[in-house]
Amino acid sequence: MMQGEVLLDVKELRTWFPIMRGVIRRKTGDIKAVDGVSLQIFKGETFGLVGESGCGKSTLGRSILRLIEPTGGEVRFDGRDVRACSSSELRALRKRMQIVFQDPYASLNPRMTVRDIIREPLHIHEPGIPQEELDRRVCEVLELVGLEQDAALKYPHEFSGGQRQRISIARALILNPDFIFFDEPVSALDVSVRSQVLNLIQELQKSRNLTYLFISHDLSVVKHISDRVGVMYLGELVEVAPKRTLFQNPLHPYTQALMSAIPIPDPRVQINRVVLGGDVPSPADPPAGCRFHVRCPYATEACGSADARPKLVELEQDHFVACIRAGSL
Amino acid sequence: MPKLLEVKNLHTGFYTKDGGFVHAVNGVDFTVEQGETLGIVGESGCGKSVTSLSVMQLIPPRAGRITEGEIWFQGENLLQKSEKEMCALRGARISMIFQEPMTSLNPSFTIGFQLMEPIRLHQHCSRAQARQTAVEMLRLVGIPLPEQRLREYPHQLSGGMRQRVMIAIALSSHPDLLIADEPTTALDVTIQAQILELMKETSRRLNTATILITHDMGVVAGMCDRIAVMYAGRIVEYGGLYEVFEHPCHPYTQGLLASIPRLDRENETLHMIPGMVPGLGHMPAGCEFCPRCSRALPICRAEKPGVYQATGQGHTARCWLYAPKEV
Repeated sequence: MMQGEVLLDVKELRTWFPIMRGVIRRKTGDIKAVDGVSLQIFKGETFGLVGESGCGKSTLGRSILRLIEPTGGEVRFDGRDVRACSSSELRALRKRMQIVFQDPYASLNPRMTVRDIIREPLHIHEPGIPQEELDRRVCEVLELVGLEQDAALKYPHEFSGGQRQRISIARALILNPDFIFFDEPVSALDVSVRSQVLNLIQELQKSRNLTYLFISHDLSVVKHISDRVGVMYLGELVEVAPKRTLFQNPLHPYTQALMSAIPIPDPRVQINRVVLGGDVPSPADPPAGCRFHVRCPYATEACGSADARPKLVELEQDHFVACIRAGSL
Repeated sequence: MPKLLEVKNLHTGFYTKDGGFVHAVNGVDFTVEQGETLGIVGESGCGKSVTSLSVMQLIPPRAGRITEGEIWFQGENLLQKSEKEMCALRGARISMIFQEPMTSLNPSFTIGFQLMEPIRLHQHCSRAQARQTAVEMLRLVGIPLPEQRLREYPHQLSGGMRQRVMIAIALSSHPDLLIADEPTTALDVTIQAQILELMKETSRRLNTATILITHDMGVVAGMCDRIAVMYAGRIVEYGGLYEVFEHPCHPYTQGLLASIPRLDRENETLHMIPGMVPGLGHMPAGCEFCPRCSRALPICRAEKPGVYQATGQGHTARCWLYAPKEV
């Protein structure tokens, strides 16, 4: 998997939101939602991104698609510089990169029928295709995501959460994209329905050779679906590794704490819990040095010094960690 | 052990817009013993929150009502109490923690005011004494600089801190029973771990019995002594923690446990429970789960199952598979 072709190459991506204060709305600072993230996603793989709320994972995903304009850095999709694209070039590129949002109740227009929702991307990206062709392709994707044909004429409110998420997936699939960004696609769903949607997402990847960026705050879901996993904390990637390596041997103290915090549905499993003190600091004023050092059980004085902001280093093969003490812990 | 709370055959329903009436809770029985933790698990809409609101009698009279059943708490039937008597009981002997720490604290009053209100109300003490107790409670739930926090407003605290305040309020008059309705669902996992640890620790120290309502099997596994699994308004499986996790008997419990991706295991494809939960107005004639059940028998479609003993004493399943042969 690792030696594959790079589809998405992100270098030092920064997305800062200005903080405006006072009557004249003067800029007084920045919220560093994404601050210097570099990652590569290979063709045909699923890259999972985990982190707690507010760590910048959704902002990162949206900045990659330029749904939010990044402040700095570079994004290359299949060799093309996404940030340098004009709006018409970007439109052509977006045909190949699609998104499925978290909340299936908010991301489907309640006044459109399912057929209109699903074929809207075709109207925009392939104007002038004949009616029969349109209908045929809508039928095709409906079948692909496991919905009945008569669903096409219904409205979103007639469907349950799991079915709505299938409609969202159908809308993303109709353009035959290469890359789909899933932004917490199963967080709003119940357990018994969640596994149906997760299995569908996996089957589609196999049958259509898709590349995924999959975001979730739920480590067990990410572990289930991903090939490689990145862990984010406060706007930075702190650890990236193939999933097996990461889950068997987490090297960053934050990853270790995050993993031990997940409740396991088996009363006999004893977890050596690393309970972190405190809360995630504000991204407007992140701690100097390593951003995790204020909550880290292994922090030394060196971790907090301003020039010691750790970079991702390949500690073992394909296993990148941003921690100055990671090797010695 | 003495029974603290005993709920018998509880039915709660709601009025619908077209003048009808639907049952959200349909004959629920359970007991909670002194100092133990009972977990009520189930997916959204299965009636777990309505069950807890029924115990507290917090169902808005215009929206719905308890139609049948008995709720015995320390030898008294709560359903025969007047609203005034319930008011004296709520917050003093039974307390509740709600899911959203963001919306369950009043944004226009200080933490101190909201924390001292129930203490003064139920313990009839002076302002200074209430203040003293409030500071102690905040310290108990691990909030740094409690004196200063008393003067702050909810928006100045993070989600985890707010939930700590909620726990402090709920435990301030040393209730015998604490009902926690999805106390950590709105929180991040590392904060969830802190709060669960805190709840375990404080309820042990104060010997409070807890009803923990959650949809997360993982949380239940780490916290509870006994479990009630709910589906479509009924308890489908009820038993000790180890019995239910190691020998799940009801096909719904089995499916639920199998469809969770596990952090401690390798899994290729996930188990799926086909279909979805039936709507409240469209319950099947037989077992509510049978349209989704892979082991359904002809009788499941026709008749509702009773409660049968599953693996041993105290472990029951509401499923025809466990019906005694002669029936």
